Amino acid sequence: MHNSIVQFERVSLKYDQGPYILEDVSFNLSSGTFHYLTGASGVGKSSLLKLIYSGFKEYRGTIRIFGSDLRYMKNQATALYRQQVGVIFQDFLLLDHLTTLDNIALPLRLKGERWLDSRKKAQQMMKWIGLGGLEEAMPSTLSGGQKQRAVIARSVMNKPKILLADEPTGNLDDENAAKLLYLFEELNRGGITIIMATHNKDLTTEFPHPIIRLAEGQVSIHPPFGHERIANNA
Amino acid sequence: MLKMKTSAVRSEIPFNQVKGSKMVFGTLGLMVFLITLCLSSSILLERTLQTWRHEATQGFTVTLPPVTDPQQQFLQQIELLKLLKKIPGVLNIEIVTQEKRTSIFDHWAYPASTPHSPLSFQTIEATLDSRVKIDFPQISSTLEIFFPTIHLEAGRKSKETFLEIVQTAQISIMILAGLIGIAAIFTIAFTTHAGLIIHERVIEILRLIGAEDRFIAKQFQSYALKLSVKGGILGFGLSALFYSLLTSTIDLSLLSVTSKTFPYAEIWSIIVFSPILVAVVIMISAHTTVMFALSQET
Repeated sequence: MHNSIVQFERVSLKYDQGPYILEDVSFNLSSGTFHYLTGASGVGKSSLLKLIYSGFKEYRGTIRIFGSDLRYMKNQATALYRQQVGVIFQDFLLLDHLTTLDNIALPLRLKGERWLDSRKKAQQMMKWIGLGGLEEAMPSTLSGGQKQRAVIARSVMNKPKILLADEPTGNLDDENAAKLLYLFEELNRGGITIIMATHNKDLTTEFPHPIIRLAEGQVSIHPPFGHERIANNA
Repeated sequence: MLKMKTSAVRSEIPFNQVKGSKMVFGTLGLMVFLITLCLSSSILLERTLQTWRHEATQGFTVTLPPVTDPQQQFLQQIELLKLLKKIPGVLNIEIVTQEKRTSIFDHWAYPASTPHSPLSFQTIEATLDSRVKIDFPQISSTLEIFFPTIHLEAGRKSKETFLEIVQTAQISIMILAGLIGIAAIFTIAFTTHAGLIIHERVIEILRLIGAEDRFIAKQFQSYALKLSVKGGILGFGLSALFYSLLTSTIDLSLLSVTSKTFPYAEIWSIIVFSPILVAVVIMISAHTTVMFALSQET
């Protein structure tokens, strides 16, 4: 595909002697799109996202992101690649010894920005995302929703090209989940490709976007609710 | 506008949470002190060796047992002097006077009132031409023909042996300094490895959000520098204190150096630069250890 940003070619993945999580899966995602990733609990949604951010090397097939084969990336290249990918982890993965502000500023620090500059930018981001006043709060003192927003803020600090969100609404009530989706749509309009793992059907209906459905090791891509099916690799 | 806290944690890896790691700086301080001690001793020995080499006369000493008859003793001396003058390579011969012997041997060890005082021995020193190869066993045999009770001591040989022993000690001290340096490197490598295991989770998160290996290595390097600066200050303090005590109490003549020839500048340079050198080596060691360990992971 001409404008393809994520390319899976006959990718298979399994843990040790367990069943295949992905079996001979091929699909492409275009730049600037917004996809939901759905499937039953434990079906492998997080694993698929992990494959995209180069968290696994033990898979078969070829994964190309931005045209580069992830398998052959060295540590240095992987780090630079990950700086272009924002990840909202299901379990947040905030650093407990750093303040919320420093956690959010971290991606900029990793790129070599000066401490104070990165903190100033992170402070603006915190205001924008609704965490103003919590700059010096330690992550352990934040609520689930606040942590979620802190992780989102951290994931977009670098202005990533792809945003991977693993069940980002899992810790949020309906109102905050809807706010989060508005935020994602705003980011998507800004050109960020978004893949959001969720099993919240209400959200996929209320904010319609194409759906990557994962079941029994196979991936199928469906149009938003109310539209015809646009692709299926099966 | 939020007030930016300058005291905020500046390390992305929580090194300070591991209390035991602070003990490392004490170990490093001790190592800096020992390295300084070794290098200073080596410099001092080198300076002493130079003096001793310069002072080392090329020659031998012959001693005849005391004779009760002064006339006979005088004739014996004349005969011996004639014999010694004939030996090829002998530049000068000198009868060791009572004053000289007294200056060599302590008064308390050989009081003049002692009946069998060594002052009654006849001692003659011969200075040799350093370019001439001397066969000491041959000289000894020749002298024993005429004076069966004579004792010959080859000064050149014994001094050279002594200098070799001192030089070996100097080399050993340098090797010891090197070994202490290697131990410091291994200490840091081990501590860094332990740090990588302790902070595995944090490092994993940092890498997941795009931290390059060199960024993580830099964190460990900065922490190692912090520890080595603290250790360096401790080592510097110990060294300076020890050196000050030593120079105020030591009898310099024991080392054949004077206050003018004592290597003050060299030793102070070692005391100042050893901690800096150790800090640099430790930083490199920490950086290399992290880069190597992370390169083994995928």
